[in-house]
Amino acid sequence: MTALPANDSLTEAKTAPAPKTAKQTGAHAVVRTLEALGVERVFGYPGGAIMPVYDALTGSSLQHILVRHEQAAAFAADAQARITGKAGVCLATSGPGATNLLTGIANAYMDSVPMIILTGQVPSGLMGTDAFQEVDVFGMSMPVVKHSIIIRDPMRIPEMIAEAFEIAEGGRPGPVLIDLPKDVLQAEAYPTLPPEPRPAAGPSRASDADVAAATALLTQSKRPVLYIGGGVALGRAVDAVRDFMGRTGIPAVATLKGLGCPHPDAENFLGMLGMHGGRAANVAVDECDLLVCCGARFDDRATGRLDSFAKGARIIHMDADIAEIGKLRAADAAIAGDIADALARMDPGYLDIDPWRETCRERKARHAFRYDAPGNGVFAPAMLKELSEAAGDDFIAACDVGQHQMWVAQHCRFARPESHLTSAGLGAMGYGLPAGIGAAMERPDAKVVTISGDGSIMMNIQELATARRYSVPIRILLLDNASLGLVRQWQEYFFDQNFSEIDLYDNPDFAEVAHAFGIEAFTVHSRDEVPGAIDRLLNARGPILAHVLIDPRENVWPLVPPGASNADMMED
Amino acid sequence: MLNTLIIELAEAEGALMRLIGLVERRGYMIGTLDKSEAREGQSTITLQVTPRDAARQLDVLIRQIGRLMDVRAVFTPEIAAAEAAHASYHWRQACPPRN
Ligand SMILES: Cc1ncc(C[n+]2csc(CCOP(=O)(O)OP(=O)(O)O)c2C)c(N)n1
Ligand SMILES: [Mg+2]
Repeated sequence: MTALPANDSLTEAKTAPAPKTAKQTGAHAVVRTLEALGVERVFGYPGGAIMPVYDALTGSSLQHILVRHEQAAAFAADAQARITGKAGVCLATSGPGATNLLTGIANAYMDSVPMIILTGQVPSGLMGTDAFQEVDVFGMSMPVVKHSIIIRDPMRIPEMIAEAFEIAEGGRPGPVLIDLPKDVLQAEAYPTLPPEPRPAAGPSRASDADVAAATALLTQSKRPVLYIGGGVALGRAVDAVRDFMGRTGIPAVATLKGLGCPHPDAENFLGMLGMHGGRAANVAVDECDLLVCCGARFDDRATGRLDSFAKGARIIHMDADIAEIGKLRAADAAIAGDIADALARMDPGYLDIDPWRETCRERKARHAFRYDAPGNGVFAPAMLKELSEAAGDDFIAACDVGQHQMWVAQHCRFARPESHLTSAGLGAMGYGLPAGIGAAMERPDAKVVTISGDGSIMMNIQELATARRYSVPIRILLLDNASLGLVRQWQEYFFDQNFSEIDLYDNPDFAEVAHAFGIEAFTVHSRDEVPGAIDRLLNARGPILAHVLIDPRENVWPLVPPGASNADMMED
Repeated sequence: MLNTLIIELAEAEGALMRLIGLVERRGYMIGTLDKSEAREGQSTITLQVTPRDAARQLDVLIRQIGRLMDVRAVFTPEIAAAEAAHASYHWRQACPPRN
């Protein structure tokens, strides 16, 4: 920011000598570039090599959120980006600060989340000498970034950061790491700022021939299924998918990341497919003669045994990223580019698929989830269903990883894909709390609920301090089964009930832990307390934590055993 | 199965490491590697690669290489020959812009 003369008299200001501007450094250029690019919030944690940036933050319009572990900075920035579609920004020092970010970077990479990671680095002259707190984060992060740079010239800071944002947000989004040697941050520099944020280039348009080829396959199909993945939300194709489903009546299934793309109440939406998918979804894919893959990537958790996945089907593969096409399953027709545009141009006319649609709908009704579990213990699937319905279209779930994550996917209602923040590709325990914080800061008026497990919450429990510090409007629903439930379930069925190291009998009293952080909290012991608990959670300003005790023997159903075909699912 | 890949690579910090890392990580062994002198900020890398298992498909690897920011173009000798003969194929035509 240019310093204005302290005097507010215009005439005097004109005649007064030019104000003595403070020395500007590379670090100021970093901060002012972020401001100029429209960044409002960064999540970070200070330390030696990044201190010049922290110094330059003083007086900046950027809101810096001090987390309590760098991994949480990355997860919070990731969640913000999933909601806004714009790159989230996180900041850490060299060495341990940078290595603590790596899980968060990998998480963003696996789920194609736009993110800018700024790391301090030891001075250029010391790089490569094993200096104090030197790690080659540029090298270490290479497999899990879309791109990365080391800025060596302070004059190029604005231009290179602006380009990093374009790369992170454009095409198939992803994380971009910017390593900043300390001498570059401290050098005197007065670079020109980028004029204004440049809009990211949109994906290319599919050719008429490709659209026609795909449409022809559709018209020949008697049993088509839409297979919807995270690329639909990333490609801003949610409305196009809903319109296409409405026009054609083709039954649809979604991946973990595709949830919220089809309208949750659409009668031809059959639910999630895959390892913990519903029977209606998995059987429809098994029996279909045409699979229309929209922004999904044949992940093994979705496909089960690949060679029997949609085994009799032809494939239309639509993806913004051409490198995904044919990676795991050959495509009979491919659309590389803008999914929304291609769907809008695909008009197969009347499709003679009424019997197929009926079969799918009938199966969906017959295999609907049941919530009438016996006993008076809290039945987590029912509680989650009621919670999401009570929260309505403003509901945003930030999940951790485990059984509770799968119950959220199966039983919650998501009005939009941004309503469901989950670590899908990486499956990183510890995502839920920082992601909830990032989401609630971005959408303070939404009903943001972190849904965590007693194992996962301990991976980033320190972020309760961040929630408290900034009075973040977050609700935490902690489903406590006193175990690493998902691992326990696998041990029960695939390791001869050899329950090895999954018992968390000695968990702390989580309500007391929350109280110690200055956070409102209460414990739910039985089913009759559930309606009151949901009310209290949703009506609280937050932060608030509900510690919910559930039966450790409860499992996630259905379950496709690892290596099996999706059609061979186990049921309760 | 030996395959030759020709890559036009920008002279950027880490570009070579990123390229080699990708090829190995995606399931290929690098038999030979040749880097030309840089001209106008760009050099030509020629690699001979062998897949670690039969499921790996070279065209997927080519597109994954093409996705790297520092890669200007990637060919096989067959593609290069077709280009020289004014045939129409070039990977860029098959790829959307990377941004
Ligand atoms: C960082 C990390 N470490 C280990 C795992 C493996 N893992 C997946 S689920 C799970 C258990 C999670 O326990 P909890 O959070 O209590 O959830 P629950 O399954 O009991 O609902 C573990 C250990 C993981 N996904 N992430
Ligand atoms: Mg648990």
